[in-house]
Amino acid sequence: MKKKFNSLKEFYSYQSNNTIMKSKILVGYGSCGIAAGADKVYDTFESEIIKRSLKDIELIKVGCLGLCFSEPNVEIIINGLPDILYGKVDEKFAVRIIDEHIINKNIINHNLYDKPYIDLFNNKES
Amino acid sequence: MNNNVILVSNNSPHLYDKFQKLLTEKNLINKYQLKKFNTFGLNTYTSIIKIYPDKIIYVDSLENDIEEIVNDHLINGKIVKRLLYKNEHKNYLKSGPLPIYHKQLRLVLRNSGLIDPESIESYLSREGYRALAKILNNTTQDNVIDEIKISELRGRGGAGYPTWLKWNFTKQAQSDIKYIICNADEGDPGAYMDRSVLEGDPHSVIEGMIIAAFTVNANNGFIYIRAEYPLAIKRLEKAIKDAKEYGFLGKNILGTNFSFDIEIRLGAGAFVCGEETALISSIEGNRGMPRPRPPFPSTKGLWEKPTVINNVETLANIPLIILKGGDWYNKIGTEKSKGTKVFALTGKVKNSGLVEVPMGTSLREIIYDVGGGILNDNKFKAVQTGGPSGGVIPEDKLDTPISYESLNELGSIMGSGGMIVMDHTDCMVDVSKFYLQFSVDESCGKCSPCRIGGRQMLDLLTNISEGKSDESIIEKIEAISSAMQKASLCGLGQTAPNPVISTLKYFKDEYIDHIVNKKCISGKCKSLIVFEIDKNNCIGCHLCAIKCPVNAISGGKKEIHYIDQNKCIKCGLCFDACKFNAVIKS
Ligand SMILES: Cc1cc2nc3c(=O)[nH]c(=O)nc-3n(C[C@H](O)[C@H](O)[C@H](O)COP(=O)(O)O)c2cc1C
Ligand code: SF4
Ligand code: SF4
Repeated sequence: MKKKFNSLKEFYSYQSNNTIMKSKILVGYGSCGIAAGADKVYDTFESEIIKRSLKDIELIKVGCLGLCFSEPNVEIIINGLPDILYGKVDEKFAVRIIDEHIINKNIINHNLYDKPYIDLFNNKES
Repeated sequence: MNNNVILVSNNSPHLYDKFQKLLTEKNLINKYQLKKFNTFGLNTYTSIIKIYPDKIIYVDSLENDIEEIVNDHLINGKIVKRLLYKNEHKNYLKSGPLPIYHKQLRLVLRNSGLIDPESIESYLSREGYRALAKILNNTTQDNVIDEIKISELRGRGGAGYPTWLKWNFTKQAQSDIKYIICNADEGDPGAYMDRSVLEGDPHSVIEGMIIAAFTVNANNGFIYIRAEYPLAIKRLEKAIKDAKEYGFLGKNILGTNFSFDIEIRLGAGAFVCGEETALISSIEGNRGMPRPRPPFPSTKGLWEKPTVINNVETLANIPLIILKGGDWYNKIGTEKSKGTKVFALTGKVKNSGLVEVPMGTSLREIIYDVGGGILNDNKFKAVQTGGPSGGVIPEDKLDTPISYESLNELGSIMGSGGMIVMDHTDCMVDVSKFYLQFSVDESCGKCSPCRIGGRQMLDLLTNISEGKSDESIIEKIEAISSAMQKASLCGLGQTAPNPVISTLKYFKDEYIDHIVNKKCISGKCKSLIVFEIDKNNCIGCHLCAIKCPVNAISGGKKEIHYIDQNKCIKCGLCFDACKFNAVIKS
């Protein structure tokens, strides 16, 4: 989508369409994540989403959370469940995340990590 | 959907088991998702329990408390107040946003890991470009300077110079043409904070640059970034393109009469090119060599025009200060060092990674609470900050609150934020040799104290590590150090002796051990170790001789073996191979 703000007024009246509540898969895709295999994990999510024609789910490449020791890190945001961060995700685990967490809404009891800080803007849970 | 979730920290598996037992007994186990999670507050709390959707955190609960949580909270909906997380401001926090029990505070990394760095919409959804709009809407240049002044933000590139002062010099300088430069050279070994910011949230840096440009009347900007950061470059390029399309860069930004553009310049990866005057000369197309200051770039910089040059992290702070106010920012940190600092925590630490903490956090909190402690629970020996310009800090100084001043007092520096943890297997002579070697390799050679002094000092250190020295060597090192500090042209040469001086200060015994006893207890200095065969233990199995890569071990089957010291390269393979403890390392 192309958008040019020609004035401050236009900018202020603009509502980013990014706030719609969709389920999200955030894959840590900085240099550290990629070095640990985040690219393969991302590709797995992408093909699984297509294969199962999952709707209303957004797959996003994000930067580094700072937890380089547990890369690749993947965060799952689903309405109603706490945001969950999984560390050391590989391709097989990615498929499990789709099956169990995204589809069945069951958090997987494996490699869960605490987010190490609180979100400055949303001020929701860590 | 079963959205009742109980998360129990992994440092208290018995609490998890207890939950499982009680929930099963009470037939509730299918009503809850009970899970374990890895946490970082391991040294702060014995346990952390989070309950959703109520968003309640209990800390330091004991096994006996679990029954109360299950009965009162889960079954009767009554929060167990005495177990609630407490912080210094409030007695306890009830439901609502979860409290910050972590030591980290993410200002610079506020979006990193949360947004899609290649999507400007993603940035906009998190207050992106609001700070820019705010200043264009109703702020004067002086207001911006005042706000930054109130915040007391200081440069994160190493020297800690007040940002507002720098901007003010450039603002006041008379010139039609002025420049903004973002220093993304990041050459310290072990540092990758700036790369992560640029990879995770490029727009925050761009927005910071635009605000700087507005404030000082600059119309052109450069981001000087090392070519070894392809992903950061790619994301920056996309971000600049999108910002132009959206009207945040280019002519008449957001319909105002302010115009500003940014170009990327690739550095070739020389450490000295991170020094501001060398960087400027590199952008101008000349060899990246420092020149004497004054004049400072703020009045006479790129192509002799007034130039603001700031570090990536400094710039990423700017939009936040404008949005939340200088007062808000000023409340974070210590008396003279405000805000947060990002560190790249590496070395012998469990949770290596990027860490952002408020100034004033202690080194111990960073290494143990955030970093999870020393790898393999080894003994901590020292932490190195500031890279080749910094120094080491020993155990008894770990409680020092971090600030520009406190680290200087300890003989190290804040630097750009590399933090390397060392344990008993690290040799301090070897460490200082490593950093000095780096500075010698990276010296541009323009001035002799750095070019010749560095080389001589490295030779002296090499002599120490090879056992070819006597006690007079320490005086020589001190003399060269002081000459380099005083007479070098730029920061590289002036600070290159720091790693040596600080290791000498805190670990002199270890130097003496090398010099007098010709011993390296950590076994890092190869010349000082000898591998020998113990005649009493050797049964002549010949295994060591088979392993030795240089055929230094002789002896037939069932005969006592012998190591030829002239051939031995001290690889230690024989030591590891022998099953009879017949190879001795000394
Ligand atoms: C040898 C040497 C290397 C430097 N490397 C960097 C660097 O990689 N990044 C950086 O921001 N500053 C570096 N600096 C500091 C810069 O000269 C300058 O002080 C800094 O970019 C100013 O920005 P700030 O005020 O935002 O900290 C280096 C200085 C020296 C002496
Ligand atoms: S101190 Fe070293 S790096 Fe700096 S100008 Fe002199 S020779 Fe070059
Ligand atoms: S230390 Fe290595 S080189 Fe020396 S004798 Fe043993 S195996 Fe051979």
